[in-house]
Amino acid sequence: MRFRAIRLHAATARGPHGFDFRFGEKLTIVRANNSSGKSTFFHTLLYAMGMEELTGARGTKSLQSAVREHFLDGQDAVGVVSSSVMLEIANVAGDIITLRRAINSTDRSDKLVEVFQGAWLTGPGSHAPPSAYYLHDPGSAQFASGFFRFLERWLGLELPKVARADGGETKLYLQDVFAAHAVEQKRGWTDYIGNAPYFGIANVRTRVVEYVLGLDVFDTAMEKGRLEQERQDIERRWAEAMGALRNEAAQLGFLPKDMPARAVRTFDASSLNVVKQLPEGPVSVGSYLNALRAEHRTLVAASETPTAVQTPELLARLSEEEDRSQRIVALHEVADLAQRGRVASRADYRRMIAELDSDIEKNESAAKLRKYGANLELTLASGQCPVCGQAVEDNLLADETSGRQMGLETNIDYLKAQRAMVVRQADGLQRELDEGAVTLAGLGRDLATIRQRLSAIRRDLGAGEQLTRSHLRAIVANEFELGRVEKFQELLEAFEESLPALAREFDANRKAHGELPKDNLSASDRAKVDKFVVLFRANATSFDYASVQAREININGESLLPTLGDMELRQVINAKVESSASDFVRLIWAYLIALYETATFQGVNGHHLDFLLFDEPAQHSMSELSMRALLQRLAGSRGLQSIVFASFENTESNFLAVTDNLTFDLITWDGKLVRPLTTRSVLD
Amino acid sequence: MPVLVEHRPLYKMAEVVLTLHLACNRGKSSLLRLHLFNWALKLPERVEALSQAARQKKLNLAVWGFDPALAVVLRYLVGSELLSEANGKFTLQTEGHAFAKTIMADESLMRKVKRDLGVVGKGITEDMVSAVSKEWKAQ
Repeated sequence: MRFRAIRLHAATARGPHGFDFRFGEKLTIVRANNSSGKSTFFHTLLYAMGMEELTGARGTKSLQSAVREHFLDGQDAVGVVSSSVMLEIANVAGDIITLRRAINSTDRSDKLVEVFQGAWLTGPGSHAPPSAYYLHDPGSAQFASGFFRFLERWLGLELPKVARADGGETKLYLQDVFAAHAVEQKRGWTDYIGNAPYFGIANVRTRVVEYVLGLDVFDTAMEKGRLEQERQDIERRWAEAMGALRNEAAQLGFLPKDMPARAVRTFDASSLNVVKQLPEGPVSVGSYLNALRAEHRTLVAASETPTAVQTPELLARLSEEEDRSQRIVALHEVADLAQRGRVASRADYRRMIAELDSDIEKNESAAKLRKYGANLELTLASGQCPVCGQAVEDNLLADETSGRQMGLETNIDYLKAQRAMVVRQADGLQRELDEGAVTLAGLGRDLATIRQRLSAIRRDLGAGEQLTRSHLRAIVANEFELGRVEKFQELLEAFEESLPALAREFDANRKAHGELPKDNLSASDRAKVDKFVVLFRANATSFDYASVQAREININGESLLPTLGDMELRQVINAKVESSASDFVRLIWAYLIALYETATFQGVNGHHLDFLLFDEPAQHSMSELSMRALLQRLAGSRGLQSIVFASFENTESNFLAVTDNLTFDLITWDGKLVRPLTTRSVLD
Repeated sequence: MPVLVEHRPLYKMAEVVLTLHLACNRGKSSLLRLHLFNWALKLPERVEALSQAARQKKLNLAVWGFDPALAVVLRYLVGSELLSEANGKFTLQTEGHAFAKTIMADESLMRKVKRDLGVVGKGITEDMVSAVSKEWKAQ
């Protein structure tokens, strides 16, 4: 982003007043003695972009009275009738817009920012009607008519979602990102990114640096979310497939054996094991189908050779079928008994789970009570007797019980573990119940079939048709069953393909999940941070940072802030260094500039806005040499627009010494900042 | 050894404070009535019996249990100045009311106890309790 020009227009009884300045492409120095309006200028500039929260205030409260109420003209206080500020800026694409925001106005809210297309201050603007955007209302960062949403898009940014301190998530605020670009003198030089307004984002400085450096951490978080969603989808499809398989099988009295209820990473088609419980023992679908086909062939062959009714043969078959029927009845009784037992156990488990739930809730209440009790300063909350102050057991009947008493947290864990165990057992039981129901239904069906067969044989014994009734019935039953089992076989074959495929998908998903960086930083992030460290150290050295050796300073991989040993590096009290406070300011310069340098380094793809605004960087009697080094660095940074507001200790000699041989644009004025305007603008 | 949550001092303290707050007029009660509530809160059937008694304005209970844990916790409550004790009556103090209000404000806290006490309400009077206890002496 480029600042091109700013204009303040204040209507007064003495005619239009204000200021009107152009900014340079690279380093612009705004030179003004103390109390001549330097801060007014800086604050008005931030206000024009809706960024006044960087100064700690919201709305016109952030502005000095000179631009909103009255200013001094010689000895006279001149009242401001109405005023507004205009700011002309360009984005990376070269698109120029002019912002206008009212400061003191009866007809325009100070929450309104009008966006005019084109360079209305430095050249002809476009006559497209302006767009109106709003600030500081809930949603100004989210809704399309919010100014920050507009600015974010216009700057080509896409701010990431970040964690809130209270556990929710929110979009990173544009104001926080700006805080890495604009440093206001009162608070800005006390910390790295010290201006960042607090909107409830956890570790906001770190989030800003991560974003400006274009680290993958946000991508990683997004990718994690995507993989999790995919995992749930696979689990759902797996469960659906299992449900369908079980349903279809159950209708035929088949039972899938040892099928994983949840998605697995490898699944071999051969482990798809579906069996039918027959009196002779379990048989697979394939062999059951073969048996049916063989029976079919025999039956058809028999029907083609007409024979007279053979009573002895029929009698033999009758007794054989009766035996078979009795075996099935016995099996059915055993299975039924077992099933009743399971139903009773299930009720027991449910009761146990309900009791454990109630216990867990009570114990969690007790844990919370300890916190509330501590708030009320109840000594018992910290395990002390309120009267004698001695430690007391966390058990009213401690004297009556023996053995080590479980602590509250351990007790809660213990109950939860118990609950998990019971739930696991209940789940296992439920599977047995489902299987039992299928077995019972299958046996019931077999029983019905055999009874029909028996009655047909009995009728045959009294009849004399060529093709016996029992034979016909047997063929019909056989063909019916054959058709259904063949269809089921096809379904199984489809599962033989789809389940291993789903397992492979699941495996790929889990692998991708495993490959995500564990400690937030990916390899490319690590490289960026390494680059950042190098540039930061180099800057610190060139600004004469002396409190500690630059090579001892590191950037913590997690907080992304400078550290010395394990500690965040702040002001170091060191007798050898004249002013430790000014030394810390050098470190902040080094940090913010290194942030820009790293973000724009080839291959980093950061999100720096390519400008820096420094309000009085020469804090705490900063040496001329250091200040000069700073300005040299800023002037020499290709692609960076910097605007430095400085008083140069109110002396010409300091200004000359610091800026000697430096290329820069100068903005300065005599006397007060707000003065009669000599130019006119259509936007006034 | 796991500990019954009803034997955790703070939990029991909260239970007594809630009893006085929700079920006793002016946050004041005799020891006998506190034992009655303490005993009743242990089982749903007993809570049901108390709630019936409150509606019929007569206690149809012959006896109830006395819990040594309650005796201990009452000492703690008086020691913590949540309750005061005078003439055999326990009364909620300012701090005790504050504790009760804190517990009431957090909905997730002690849900069952709050519900049970709410069901019974303030209808179990000292007169009803002493009417029963006089029977004990008479026999």
